[in-house]
Amino acid sequence: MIPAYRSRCTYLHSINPVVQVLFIVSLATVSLATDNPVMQIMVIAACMMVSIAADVFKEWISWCRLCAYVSLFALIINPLVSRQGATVLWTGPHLPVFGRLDITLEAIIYGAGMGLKLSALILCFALLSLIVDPDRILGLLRGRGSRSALLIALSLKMVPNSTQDAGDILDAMRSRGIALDDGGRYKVMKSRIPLVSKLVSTGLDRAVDLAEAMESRAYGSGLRTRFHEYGLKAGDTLLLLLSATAVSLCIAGMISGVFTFTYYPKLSWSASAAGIAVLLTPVVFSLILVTLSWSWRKWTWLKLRI
Amino acid sequence: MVVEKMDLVEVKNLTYSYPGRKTASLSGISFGVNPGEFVLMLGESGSGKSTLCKTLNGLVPHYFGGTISGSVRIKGILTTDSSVSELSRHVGMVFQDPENQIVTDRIESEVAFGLENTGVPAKQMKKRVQEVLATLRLSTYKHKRLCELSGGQKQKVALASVLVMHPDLIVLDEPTSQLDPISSEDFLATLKSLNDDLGLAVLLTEHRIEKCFHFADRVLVLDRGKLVFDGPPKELAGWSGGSGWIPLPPISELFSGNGSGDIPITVKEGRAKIAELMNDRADVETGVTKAAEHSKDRKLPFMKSIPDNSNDNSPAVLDVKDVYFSYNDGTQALCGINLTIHPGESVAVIGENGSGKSTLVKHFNGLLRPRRGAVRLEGKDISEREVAELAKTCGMLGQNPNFQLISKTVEGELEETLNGVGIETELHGRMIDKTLCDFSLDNMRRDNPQDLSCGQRERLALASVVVYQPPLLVLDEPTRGIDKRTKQFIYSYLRDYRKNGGTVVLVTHDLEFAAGCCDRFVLISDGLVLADGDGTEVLSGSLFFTTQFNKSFRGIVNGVVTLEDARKAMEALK
Repeated sequence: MIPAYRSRCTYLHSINPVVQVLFIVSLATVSLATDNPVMQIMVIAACMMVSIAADVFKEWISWCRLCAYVSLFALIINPLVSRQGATVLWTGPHLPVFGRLDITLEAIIYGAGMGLKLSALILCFALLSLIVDPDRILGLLRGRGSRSALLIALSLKMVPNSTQDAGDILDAMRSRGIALDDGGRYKVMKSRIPLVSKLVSTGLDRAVDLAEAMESRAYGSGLRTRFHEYGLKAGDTLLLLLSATAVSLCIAGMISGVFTFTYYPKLSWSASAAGIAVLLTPVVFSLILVTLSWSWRKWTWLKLRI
Repeated sequence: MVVEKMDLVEVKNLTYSYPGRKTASLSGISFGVNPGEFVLMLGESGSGKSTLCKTLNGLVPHYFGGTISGSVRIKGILTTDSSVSELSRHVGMVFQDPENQIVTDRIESEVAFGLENTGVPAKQMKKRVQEVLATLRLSTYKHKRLCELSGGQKQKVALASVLVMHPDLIVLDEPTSQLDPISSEDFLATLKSLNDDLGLAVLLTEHRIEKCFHFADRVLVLDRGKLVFDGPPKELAGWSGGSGWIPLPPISELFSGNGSGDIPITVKEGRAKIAELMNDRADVETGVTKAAEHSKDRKLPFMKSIPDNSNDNSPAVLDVKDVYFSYNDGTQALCGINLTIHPGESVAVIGENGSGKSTLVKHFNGLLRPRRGAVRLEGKDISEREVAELAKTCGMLGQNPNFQLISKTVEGELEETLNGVGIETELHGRMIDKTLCDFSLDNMRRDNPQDLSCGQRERLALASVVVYQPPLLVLDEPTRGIDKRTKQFIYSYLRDYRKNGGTVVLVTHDLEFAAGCCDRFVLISDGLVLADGDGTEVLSGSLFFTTQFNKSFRGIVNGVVTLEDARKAMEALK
């Protein structure tokens, strides 16, 4: 089961939702901007430290299984489909569509690098889902994209409701002796047709009831106001500055070539002292964030000021 | 209370038909509601209560369309000339199912939704939201997600979200039909305090009225779209004569047939009335005590209302041994339940919400499997048997009868069950005919179940379970949200079912109903059996989990549980 957002009393949970999103997006931008596997590892390490600071490490780490599958997939597929790379480790038979199968060291490393990159992005998204309250984001949207925000909110609500209804309908069918799992795939699917039509009709009934309730509370009557108004506090500005600095440094490092990493045709990398410093940027900034979170929790005066 | 001017709600000669319907849902209705009045509206399912409620906030006709004549005025504003959003500032509406009226995921956002829609500035909105949350004692939950709240709390949030709009009238359409008695009582008490403390006018429709009848200043009764009664509650008790389909609190029902002018409507009034009847209390008590001592089952001889068909010597139809169960989220629902049910018994499983009642009965037909312990059905362990196979012995009707109805026709619904449990095809016609006849559904056999009325759907759901007469029948909350007539039908059917040798298990909060048709009560709390015995034993020893009759006669005549018991006790007291 995918872990959902839960409200917690941490610095990262307390900040402005837009800043929360921008912070995670900055990490994801760094990951997207480079293929350097060291930078991907740094982004993952930064996410891990932030998850500890936000008290969501247990939930965050549960996403690692998905990352492992994705990385493994990239690691296996890339050498099979890629014809690039100078260091041929194994020459295989001639396959239709793929041509001759040459497995190169560079293609394997590139596959692993892409796996790391995908994992870094997934883990950024995991962090986003664990520290950003979806209702606060939807609340922000309500003033402008109110209809879209409401549509998203209602669609999200429909999933657990329909799951619950489906369970109850299947229980009712089984209790009447209707065998739902006997026979072949066709028979199993056929026996579930009443479930689908019942779910649709129940969903429609719910929708009509909800529409009545919304109409009764003046929905669609004119210009709306917003209950959630989030200003920028000192703590929000601080995180915003940290995020902007980290992204700027990383992008500047990449453009100036203080660190490089190339996969093809042969593996090569270089990093000056400045390059190493840039590579360490996400982790260093996350360490600052961890310290800030710890202090926020420890000292009330700081909590009240930021 | 006499207030000359009726200026809040004024309904005059209202007639309304839904689009495409030939018959009018409301016909020639006229009434008024004063500011600060508490009005209770009664009527059978399909009598037009919900439609009338929706005319007050303009959903009828603005949202539903249809043909309307006559007039509905709210504070002088004609609803047909005003939009629903304009009317929402004067009339707030709370619907039956809290799940189907929640729009957002957070309590504060949900309460603020209506204010956002009407363009209230953020600062003012925050003040109003906090004020309402504090008034309804919801402040402690305000940061929680709505999915983490109980049904009762969700319904309070729904009330808060209309109260925050500062309406003059709150209309509630069976708001407690999906709640357990404790949550219902809490909700209705909150409503009454709003009426008393804020002077807010309330119009409430309900089927379960014992907790709100005495709150009402006036009662309206609708019958097939017509207003047949408009007066104070005490007058209704006398007017109805205690019979027919009009629901009355149990204590009023007891006194309504005896021609007495002043009919009690609360337990307190009932006890005072009973005390009046006791001209020679000492003698009566002595007589009662002596009779009880001589009765082998420690009941008064006249108090055996149900024929006891149970046969304790025969093999148990169901044997639950040391059953433990926990859900995947870690909630421990059952903690070592032992229960043996013999053929012919009628058992009521009672207890508060979340005590494990439904979880327990879902073990009877294998919908849930114990983590530890065993369940035996007719002497055979069920652990290796499929639910579909167990259905031949154990028929079960879940809490929501709508989920039971999956076919396109009424008779198809019964056919589906007969096919499921493997009854020979030649027997189907006869069994379906008999069941449809028993349930008065024979003239609508080709109708779509979705087109039936609430009461008819409830009967069809039960018919689809009993069509093959399973030896063990399990019903989970069969009386929730149904009218008196349907309840009476289920009551009679279950008594006949037992007479024919069937075994019945009821999970219910409706103790008056259970006391009438069950002879054994199992009280469950926190997944444990707290009490197991006959109605007198379990209900008489309980302060909350007992009937209004028992509360009324406690300390005067012990062991009174059912209406029949109460009538006989009254005879003895006279």
